[in-house]
Amino acid sequence: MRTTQLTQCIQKEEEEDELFEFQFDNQSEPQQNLQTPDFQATKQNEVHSQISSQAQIEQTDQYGFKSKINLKHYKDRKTLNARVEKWRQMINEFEKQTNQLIKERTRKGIPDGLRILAWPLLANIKKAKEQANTIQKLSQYSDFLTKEKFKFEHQIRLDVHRTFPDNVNFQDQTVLSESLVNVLKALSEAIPDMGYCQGLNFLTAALIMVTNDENAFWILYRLMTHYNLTAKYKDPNSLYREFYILDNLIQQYHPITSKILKRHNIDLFYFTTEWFITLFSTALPINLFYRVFEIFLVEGEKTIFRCALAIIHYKEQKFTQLNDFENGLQYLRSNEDLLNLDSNQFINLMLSKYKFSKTVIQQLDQKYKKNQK
Amino acid sequence: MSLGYYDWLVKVIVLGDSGVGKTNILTQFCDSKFSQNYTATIGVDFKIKILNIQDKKIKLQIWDTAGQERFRNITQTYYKGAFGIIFVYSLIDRNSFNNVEGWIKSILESTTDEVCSILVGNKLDSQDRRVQTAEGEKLAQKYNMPFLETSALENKNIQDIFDRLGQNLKIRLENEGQKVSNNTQRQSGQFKLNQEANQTEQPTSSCNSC
Repeated sequence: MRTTQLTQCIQKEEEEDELFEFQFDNQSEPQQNLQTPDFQATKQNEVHSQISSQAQIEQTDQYGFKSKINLKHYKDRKTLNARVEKWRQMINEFEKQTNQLIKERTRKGIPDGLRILAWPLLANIKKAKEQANTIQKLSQYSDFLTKEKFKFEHQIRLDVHRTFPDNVNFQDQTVLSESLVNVLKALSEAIPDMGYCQGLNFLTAALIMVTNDENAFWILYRLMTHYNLTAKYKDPNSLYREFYILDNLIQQYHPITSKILKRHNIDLFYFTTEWFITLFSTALPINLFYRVFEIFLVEGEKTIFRCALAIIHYKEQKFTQLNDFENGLQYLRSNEDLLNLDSNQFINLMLSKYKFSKTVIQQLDQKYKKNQK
Repeated sequence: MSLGYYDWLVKVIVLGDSGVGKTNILTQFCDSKFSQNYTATIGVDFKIKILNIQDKKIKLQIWDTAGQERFRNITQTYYKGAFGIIFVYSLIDRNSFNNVEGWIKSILESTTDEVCSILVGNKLDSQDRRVQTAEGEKLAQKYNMPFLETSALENKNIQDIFDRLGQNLKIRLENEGQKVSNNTQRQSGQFKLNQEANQTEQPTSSCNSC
């Protein structure tokens, strides 16, 4: 019964493509002058080149990962150059762009070197600064780091060297690992009722590999205050809402997988907790994570469920063959076969196969809340 | 994770504060390695290992859990059915020892089943000890469970954790042998593939009866 209603709902609104409450402020500050994307200009690349030149250790990708990462990100040099040009112009006059254009272009992927400029605009961090100024009378990133003692510093430091062990940037005492400590400390101060939750270290690390500490902080602040991610970090028990919604969507889109999961009592808790808590930054190859993340910034929460469904799509065939609890769950939890995914293919599938609007999520959310009462 | 012959399937959980070495103990025991490069556990993870105790094979389904306090609520839901529990603290982290009694109490409160537990003080390799052996022994006595000091790094006493736990598991399982074999529908001494998965909750029943 419930599934039928859901089907109708999905069909009815299939083509509706709303944007995630996108507010652009016409009085926004003029953008800083843009240069052509130059990786050397960003801090993490300086750090990375230092590391590479100092030690000449093992070969890593541009983000410092030692694992084999899919670098086939754009179709060809020409497409990339055209895309860079389009994004340069768009960032320069961001407030003049239509939501539709921003959405379309974000779906195609933001060129790596421009993410540092595009993400703060997509997340509208100006609003975050205003909000922090209103609520806490603090409007600078550094304002949140003035204390001598931080309640969560011990836990943060415990987790920093356990963040992406495969990545040279977070091993030992590197500049980026100090950045990670600082951003997490500042965030725990800025959102005191959330503090620090394990898993945020991965999401934050993934962000500071692309953007600077300050922007990473404000983007995270915005994720917590505007994109409503606080609840699950404050109390991971609230993830039952996400499990409920995803469970319904799996029934709808992957009925066979859904049946096998239930047959073997494989609760979504066992393998999707990490997806929701780290926003897929540990599950997906980093390039693909960035693609999903920027779409999430523009289109909101439904992106999270679309991405989860797309991962299940790729795992479905093998999972259904395994057909038992231990092997099945072990397979669902492993990321190995996701490492070689083609980013473009994944994104296309995610956006074309799971076309539902945020209303679908809202309705499932309401049903979940009703069941709770 | 092959499905060889085994006599019993038992769910074991590993609990304790963040950073005490839960994951490293399991990696050392199940995969015979110690890795400096490990990640913080988010939610839960699990490993499988067959344990030989005398003439019996016990298949352990060992659940590793996130140590941060706020994950306690959500992981607790999945403790049910656990027949063995390994409580871990770090010998160089006084707080983790102070908190381990909280972990023990939270289990005693959340389950009416009698479980086989063991208390483990890890990081014996470090020179910077903050918890004395006698303190661990005293706490273990209070809750009537065996106690060991271990080093996952140096693979010291790691196998012993599971051997000790296994001995106790075996005694209880054998006492309840008839019930267990009825409950788990063993066929020709081996679980059938599909049934085995269905029976992940089955150890609960053996647990209840212990």
